Amino acid sequence: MKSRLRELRAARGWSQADLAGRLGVSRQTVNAIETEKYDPSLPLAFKVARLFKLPIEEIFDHEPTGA
Amino acid sequence: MTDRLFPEGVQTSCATAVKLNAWALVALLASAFAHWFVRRPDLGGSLRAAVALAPLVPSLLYVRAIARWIRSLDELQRHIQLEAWFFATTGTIFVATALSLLGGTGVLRGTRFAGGLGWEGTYALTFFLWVLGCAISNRRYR
Repeated sequence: MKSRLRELRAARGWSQADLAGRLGVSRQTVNAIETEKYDPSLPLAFKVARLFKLPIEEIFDHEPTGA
Repeated sequence: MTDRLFPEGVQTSCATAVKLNAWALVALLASAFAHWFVRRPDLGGSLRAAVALAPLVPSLLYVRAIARWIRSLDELQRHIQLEAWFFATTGTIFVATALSLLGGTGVLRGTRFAGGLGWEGTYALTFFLWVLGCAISNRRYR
């Protein structure tokens, strides 16, 4: 899943650890979402959306694979 | 080798490890005691069975402690742990089945595995595969 998390985090001058602390997850989780190795759960995606005051679809974009 | 065994953020302090594994130690001690105790010739069949199965109680409590610990983890850490446990349990079942099939052919006669893995072998293999599973899964999400 594509994500704008890194861009949004950088715009606020937060480190991955800062963002992880605000979301209540580990820094590894933030890194895995930013590098698109891990898709966040729906509750975490909502938490991210609330934190950045943006709709979920403006932060995460699911690209269907295959036809 | 700088790979972490546990995902970043997982509490791995000595106190946490002792608290988490306390029931495993109790199960091990109970098992050693049961192994010694059931050899007594004056024991009845039902008492012998009860003593032999007694270590299962702390073992179940250990499983409960592990389940609670996994539930308390961050969602990615939980995902990593569940992957590692799945790898460990399916790997152990696979090896146990392979040994059972080989045992049926008689090629293991005279070896330590002629009677299968045994509970010690099962626990040791599951632990080894869990460590391996943690390392593999953790590396994937690094």
